[in-house]
Amino acid sequence: MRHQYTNRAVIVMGLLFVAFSATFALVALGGGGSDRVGQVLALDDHDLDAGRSLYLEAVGSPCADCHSLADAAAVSDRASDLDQLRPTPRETVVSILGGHIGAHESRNYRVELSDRQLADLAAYIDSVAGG
Amino acid sequence: MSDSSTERGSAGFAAQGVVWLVVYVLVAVTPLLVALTADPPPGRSFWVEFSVGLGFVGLAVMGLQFAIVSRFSAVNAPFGLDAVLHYHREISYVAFAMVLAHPAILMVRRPELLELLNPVTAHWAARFGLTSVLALALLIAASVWRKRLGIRYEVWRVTHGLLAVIVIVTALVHIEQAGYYVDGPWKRALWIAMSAVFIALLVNVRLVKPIRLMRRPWEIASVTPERGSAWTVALRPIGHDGVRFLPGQFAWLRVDTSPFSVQEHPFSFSSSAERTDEVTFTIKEAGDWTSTIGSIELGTRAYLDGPFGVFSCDRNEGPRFVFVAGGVGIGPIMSMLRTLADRGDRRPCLLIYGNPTWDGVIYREELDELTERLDLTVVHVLDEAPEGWEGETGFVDRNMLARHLGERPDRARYFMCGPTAMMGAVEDALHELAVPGAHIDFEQFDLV
Ligand SMILES: Cc1cc2nc3c(=O)[nH]c(=O)nc-3n(C[C@H](O)[C@H](O)[C@H](O)COP(=O)(O)OP(=O)(O)OC[C@H]3O[C@@H](n4cnc5c(N)ncnc54)[C@H](O)[C@@H]3O)c2cc1C
Repeated sequence: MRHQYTNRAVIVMGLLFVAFSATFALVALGGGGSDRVGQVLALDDHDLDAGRSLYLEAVGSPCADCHSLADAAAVSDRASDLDQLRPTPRETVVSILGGHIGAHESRNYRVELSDRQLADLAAYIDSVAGG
Repeated sequence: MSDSSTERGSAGFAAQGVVWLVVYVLVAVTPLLVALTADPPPGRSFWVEFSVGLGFVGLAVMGLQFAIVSRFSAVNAPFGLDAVLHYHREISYVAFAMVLAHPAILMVRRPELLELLNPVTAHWAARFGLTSVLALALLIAASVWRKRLGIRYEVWRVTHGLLAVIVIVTALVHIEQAGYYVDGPWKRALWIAMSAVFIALLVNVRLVKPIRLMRRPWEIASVTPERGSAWTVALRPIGHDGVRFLPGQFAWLRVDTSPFSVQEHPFSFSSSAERTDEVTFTIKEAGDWTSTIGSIELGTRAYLDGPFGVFSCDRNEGPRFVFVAGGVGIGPIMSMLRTLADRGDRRPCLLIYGNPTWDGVIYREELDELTERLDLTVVHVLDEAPEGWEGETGFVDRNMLARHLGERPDRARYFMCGPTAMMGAVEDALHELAVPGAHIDFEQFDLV
């Protein structure tokens, strides 16, 4: 029946779509065109105290509002517990800049935090909960 | 038509088909390409981006579903509308799987995200995403189990369209709210363009097309009872030159309703393709609407959307033709026989025609006459043979076919239209008789 060909077309399309999505993920991970993560991670001489105070009272909605972190005496179950998650500085920066699946997007951290502030914050989290 | 021109014709269709498939894949992956251009945000992790990729493509595929069912004749010509609709149905499972995998992957990796499933506490991106997935699940369930759920065809069709719009619109809002990969003028432009194309497709199907149909009205010229509780309805164009179709093709027919109504039914042309002043459909009483055919008044307005379909001796030429019909499946085959007769075609034709009873054989008399105008042999097959019947009875099977097909059955072109079970059995038998699949063509009357 003609539908044999159609069924094959459906299977081929499905495989193509999955392959394209995986390629997309790899290219996106390759850093895309944005160097901001790299720029932030390249900074050194971190001010861990500044990082800690950003954690507690960054612009608008600070990290502590949602993320538990023992060192900052932050307790909340609205988002992941950073003592458990133990993010690397890269993960922290990517997550803040890029947002993680919805929750960060509505905040404007990308605009409101400078590279220096991001670097301090990531370094602070790494120093107390880093993996 | 000479053999070489037919081959050019089918090569043309094959090329068109390839072009459409390439365009289709390109549109499906456009969101991915655009997401990666013009300063993309930092990639999060493989699984997050993979899941986002699946979501984007899933949405694009669902948007494309609207293009697929828009009945663009150029798109349908290479594949045939039934194959296109079959694809529409099957690819929806693929799209559903991708759309489900999108949140599922995220949640497997971060179980705390399960909370996004609670619409009370979740943010708007999650609420819209959830709505989209639920609407899609409902849409698929209603389509797969329509008959079992006892949903009437017309009700299903309207609901199907509404749910589909909800799926797409909520998914678009979900993407806008999630806000990743949509920053910057380029990406905005893409998403606005995709939404605009989507709206244009809707406007085309619901507004432009009906208006075009309205400009080409038809009227009912006659309604003639046939054997086997069927009717032949003849239509005449009012103020235009009618429709040109290939023998065996079909059209969507609306009688006594506006072209905007969803009350339309597909029927095969049964008249000769050489006649454009009047077309006929032969319609069997099968349900609510078809049972009212007999009471249609002459002069009633009607609208035709078509022609569609690839079931035609003009699209699968050969040195001889074998037709296998069951009941009202004779309609499109009658169109081919009448057309061949009008053209003075002298190629041998064999018709194997199954019916429950001798009295219910639609076109019994005219088929007799056609044997004079064509090199045609008619083999009647009955379930209940009348007294003294010496012809065939029972199911059309391999032995019966072998008795009538003659030498080299692989060289003939086969056209079948009848109950699904019958066509399946005949197809199997033909394969056993070494007839290549490319020489066998079908028309199925149950699309959904
Ligand atoms: C390509 C094609 C060609 C056809 N050619 C003929 C023909 O030449 N002669 C003929 O008698 N029949 C033909 N049919 C079948 C015909 O379309 C249905 O019998 C008719 O639509 C039934 O409508 P109803 O309201 O009377 O029946 P219902 O009782 O409402 O429906 C019976 C079944 O018919 C199908 N159906 C109903 N309405 C529609 C619709 N609007 N569109 C599609 N399917 C529908 C559904 O599967 C439904 O379950 C053809 C069908 C297709 C797909």
